Amino acid sequence: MNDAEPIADVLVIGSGAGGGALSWRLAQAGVDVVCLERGDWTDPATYPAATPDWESHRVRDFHPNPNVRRRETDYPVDDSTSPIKPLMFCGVGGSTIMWTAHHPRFHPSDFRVKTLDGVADDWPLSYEELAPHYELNDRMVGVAGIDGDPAMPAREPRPVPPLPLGEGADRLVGAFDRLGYHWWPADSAVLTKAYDGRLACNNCGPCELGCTRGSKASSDITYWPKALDSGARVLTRAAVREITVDEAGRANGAVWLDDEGKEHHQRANVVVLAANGIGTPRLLLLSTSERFPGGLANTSGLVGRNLMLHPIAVATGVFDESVGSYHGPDGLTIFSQEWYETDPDRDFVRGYGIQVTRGQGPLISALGGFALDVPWGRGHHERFEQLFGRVATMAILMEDLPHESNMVKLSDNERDRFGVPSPQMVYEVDDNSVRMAKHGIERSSEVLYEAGAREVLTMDVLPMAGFHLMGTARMGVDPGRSVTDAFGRTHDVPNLFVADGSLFTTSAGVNPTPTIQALALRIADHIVETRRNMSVPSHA
Amino acid sequence: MPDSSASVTLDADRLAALLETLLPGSADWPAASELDLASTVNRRVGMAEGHDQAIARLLAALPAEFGDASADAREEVLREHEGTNDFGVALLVAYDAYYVHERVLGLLEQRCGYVTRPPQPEGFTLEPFDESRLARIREREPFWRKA
Repeated sequence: MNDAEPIADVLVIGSGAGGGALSWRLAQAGVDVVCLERGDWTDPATYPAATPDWESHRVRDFHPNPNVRRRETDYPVDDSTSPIKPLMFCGVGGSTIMWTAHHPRFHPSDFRVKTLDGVADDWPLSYEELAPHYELNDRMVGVAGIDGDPAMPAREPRPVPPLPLGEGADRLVGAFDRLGYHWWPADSAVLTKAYDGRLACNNCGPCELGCTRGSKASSDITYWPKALDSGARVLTRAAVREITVDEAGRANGAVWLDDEGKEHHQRANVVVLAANGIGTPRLLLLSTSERFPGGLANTSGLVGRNLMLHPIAVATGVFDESVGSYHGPDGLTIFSQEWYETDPDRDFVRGYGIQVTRGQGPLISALGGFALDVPWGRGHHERFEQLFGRVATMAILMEDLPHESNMVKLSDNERDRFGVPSPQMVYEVDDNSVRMAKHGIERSSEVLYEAGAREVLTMDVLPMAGFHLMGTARMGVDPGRSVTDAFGRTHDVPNLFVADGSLFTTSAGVNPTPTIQALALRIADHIVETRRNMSVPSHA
Repeated sequence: MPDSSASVTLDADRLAALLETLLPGSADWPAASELDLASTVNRRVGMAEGHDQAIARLLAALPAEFGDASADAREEVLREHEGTNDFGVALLVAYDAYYVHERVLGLLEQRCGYVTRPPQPEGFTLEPFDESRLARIREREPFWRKA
């Protein structure tokens, strides 16, 4: 095994939303950071949005599901036991390369779920404690949005104004107003004005195919250039196989495999896992030893458990005429948090947010898009024409409660190209979410009809919706009910940290990326503050 | 995306019949056969791992007389395969070939107002967000839950 590389102060595994933010923050504080990334750098000039068959890529090599995309740098995920499929990307920037760039914050109440509603657990930190790092992240990302949302506490002004509504969302705004329901322009990690050397969005549409202009804040173009300037290093095509420990049980590095399957050992004084809510528990479970037979940092038995995915239901309104629905960032317009908080008069706890999305191109629309019932065979063309470009979709994103039975474990059946066991998702949508979906579809349909839709098409659970991977190495105060403390430090291994969605104690009803990045920045600050006194490993 | 040959050879007649059943055409929209979609599919099907084998399996599972059967009968046969992974792949490959065809793109432009050029580099122009739209919602008192 080759371990000739110098010992790093901090080894970061994964370069996505969390890994990028944390690496930058550490490097600009003078910490020597090495990041191991399984995938490659991606070149925005090669993203498909400028090619004639751009939509074909969306169903092949740019599909968000690694099991469909099957790039050499992907690892398969055994999803045979989950109705919601995994969506993720391996590469510098991680899944932010393919995200639709929603940038909402958690509510203060999301950190106190047990206290307020008697379910799940409280987070070991508060909104107010995380707020300074939310603000810092907003500035790094260049969030588009506007102040004054009555559903959220006041905050610093967003760096750039909100995205254009587009005709579909424009119709819905009037309907929300007439019905007296909350709506607000989406907080978006897409620039509406030039910012920090990046171009403004030109409303091309398919954000999930990668942004050729750099308007979307994937972490390869926000955090990584600055991290590299500060001295951080990224090793790409480095597939980590396990975290190693010294005789005292401290993390002392990671074994990774290069393209030829040759093993390398990167040594480090501190190790941070930021490989997402599936990749991180996979690596912890793979890192077994005499001292840690059930996987690293797993004394609680909770590594991999409490997987939360945010089930998404959809209601798509069909209008009589075109609403130009394929123009503009496809996931981003407005949102509603009218039904976000627990209401004892409803038959579910917690709540959901609604995001109004735009439509999709002809191929995805023909294949069914968001609940479009386009038949094959006779009638295909007539129905396609009734729907294409004439829809507005309301995506009902539900808070997913943690259950230990929902989990990531090592697959008995699937392995990656190096023969390392793949992760397996074992997941069921719970009854609370089923009831929530019903409520969300009813309310969304009301809004869509009020907006003039002539019909509303619905889907209870969107299968291709597993972008939000959370809870599988949860934070907490009690080492018996959590894997890490409030700073992402594992209870069992004092110099091993987690900095991705695995940390989430609960899922809230909003997209997780800003919270992942705020936590990562906070964890980086904590490492900087405490590393002088941290117990570091021996490097024999 | 470069064209790529499939690793298995698909039965051209049976493939054509399959595609014609999936995309039979209507008064305004061309049928698969009018676009020689079978040739396109044969050329492109190897671009994604496993697609050629999936379609080969589906074709092999169809009855021998499938190509000569009536439209009703062919449709009935395919209904039995609906929901299978192989059928899903066939549908994806068929639509993928259809909705990038020049003639279909022309119809999308003409009948749906769809701009058929790639989204980049030109993008699209949309009206900027009009802050006055917030007038009504701004009147609402903060309602977030204190914790």
